[in-house]
Amino acid sequence: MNSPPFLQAPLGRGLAALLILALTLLLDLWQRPQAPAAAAALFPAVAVDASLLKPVAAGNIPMPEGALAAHASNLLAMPAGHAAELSAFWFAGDRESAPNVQIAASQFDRATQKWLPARYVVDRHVMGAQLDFGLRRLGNPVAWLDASGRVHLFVVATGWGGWAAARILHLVQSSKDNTLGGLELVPERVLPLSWLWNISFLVRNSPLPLADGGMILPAHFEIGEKYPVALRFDRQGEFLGMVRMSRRPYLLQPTLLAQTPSQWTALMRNHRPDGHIAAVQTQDGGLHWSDLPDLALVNPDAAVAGMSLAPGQTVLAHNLSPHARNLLDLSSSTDALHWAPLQPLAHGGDDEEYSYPAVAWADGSLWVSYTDHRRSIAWQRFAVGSKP
Amino acid sequence: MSGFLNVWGLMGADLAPALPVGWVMRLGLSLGWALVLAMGGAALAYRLPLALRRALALALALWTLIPGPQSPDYWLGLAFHAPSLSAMLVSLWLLRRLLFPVPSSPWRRPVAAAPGWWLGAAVVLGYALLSDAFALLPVQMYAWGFSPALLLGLMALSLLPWLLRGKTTLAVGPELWIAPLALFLFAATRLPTGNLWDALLDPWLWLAAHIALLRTLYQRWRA
Repeated sequence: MNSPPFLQAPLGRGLAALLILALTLLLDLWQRPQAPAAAAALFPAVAVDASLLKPVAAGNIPMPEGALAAHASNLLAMPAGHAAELSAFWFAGDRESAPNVQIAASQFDRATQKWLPARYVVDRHVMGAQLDFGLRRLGNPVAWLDASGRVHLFVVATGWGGWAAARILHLVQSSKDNTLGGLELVPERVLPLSWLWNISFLVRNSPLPLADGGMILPAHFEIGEKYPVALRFDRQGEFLGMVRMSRRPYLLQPTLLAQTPSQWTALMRNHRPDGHIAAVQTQDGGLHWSDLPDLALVNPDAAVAGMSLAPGQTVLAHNLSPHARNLLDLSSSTDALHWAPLQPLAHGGDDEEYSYPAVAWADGSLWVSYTDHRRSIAWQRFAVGSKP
Repeated sequence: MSGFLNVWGLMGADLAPALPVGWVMRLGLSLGWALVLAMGGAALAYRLPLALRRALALALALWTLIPGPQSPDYWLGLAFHAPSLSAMLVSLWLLRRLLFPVPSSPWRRPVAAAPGWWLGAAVVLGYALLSDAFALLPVQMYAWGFSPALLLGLMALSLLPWLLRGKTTLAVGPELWIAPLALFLFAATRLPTGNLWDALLDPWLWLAAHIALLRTLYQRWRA
């Protein structure tokens, strides 16, 4: 096959190469969204002294009919005017990683002040049919409301293998309303996070909301080396980029706590034996992260969950026992590094488990949910004073 | 750790990534695996008569394009997501050789005789990306794959051999046009994920590059 004559001259080839470069760049830039501004954390509109929070209500969220196991709940505060104060998502089925595990949801109804009967909102077979490729197992839902009030759900979806072969599947609300009965979700995409068949990235904790309406979603890499990453999304839930938060190979499931709009601390589960809660910090809205010494709080290789209510007002739900998940506590801090006990959440015997907490602020209350013996999801509500 | 904006700043552009839309991703996944499987089937059946080889490749491709769990791409996608654009182009090139052979054509030059430099580059690139996936590198290489500056730089680099070697280059093999064409198609479609590295090289193609490189080196050692 011979080249056309003009391409046989060096000048012709040079001009053709320049044309190809220009065309490639034009095609690329034409499709790219607006550049993101610097990320600034948004605090919930509350002025409350975290140390004054007292338990005002507690219970267990109704499980879907027939579900024998439940784990990894996540809470989403619903906007004012919505029929529900709060939505809860978790995975339920016969057991963790069972073929029939689906993502379940319930909402705390404003009118009745009760949790509605749970229903499944994500089925792996339905999602597989919509994606045109299979999903082997589902887990760890994380919910977020975008600037238009649409629910986004990030779930762990495994491929060929266990959790270490998981990918993060991004689902978006397709229904007009997001009441429990009306909520429908469709897959947007598997997030592109790794060259290795895009596997082994998982989510667990809630996003950090940003002033621009977007958010930072904490995630982690799991196979072999475990390290945390932060994923940025714009106000409509479009993926804006990723940044590795640490290269220490034993840190997972970060929870993001803002001290100021640009200074954030991430606390993490520590995979090492006899570990303590690990910490990294950014001073510039996620551009650079630095490792910090481990906290004084022990961590039995268990998930932690926290949130900043206001600058200098931070709460953290965590397992306090060094080798088991039988003690779950709520602590408060002014700097996210030094913590004081606030309330015991659940204390049981050595063989009991209260784990994988989630926290949210809704309607003047702090809500905490957690796995109760892997059989159901328990919840507690804290408020200043005696608000029911 | 370097971050969202300074990584892009380092690469010369503060621009957000553009990811492929849903239907393009689904089409790319099915089409990609259809090409790879058709090529694999035709290669395994290379001793069969040409007509049978063509029928087998066509049947495999059509089977893969069926939606749902009855199709192999449903399960290949589960395990390996989508093939890279480079893998699709290599499959096309090999299909051309296997199903439409032209005895006098320079396209018939054996793969093993391909220059080792581009195979070596693919192998080294794969090791770097694998190391990055396990956070073994001080930089965040995969995140660079969202940068338009990297696309432009790699496109310029991939055109260099053609610029330098001139008129004979279109005939000598795929190493000179696979990378630029994959990069151009990536700019147009964002396939398969919106990240440039996924378009340029996937782990299976990387493993195949190892084998091809070893064959090339062995043949040179024997010569």
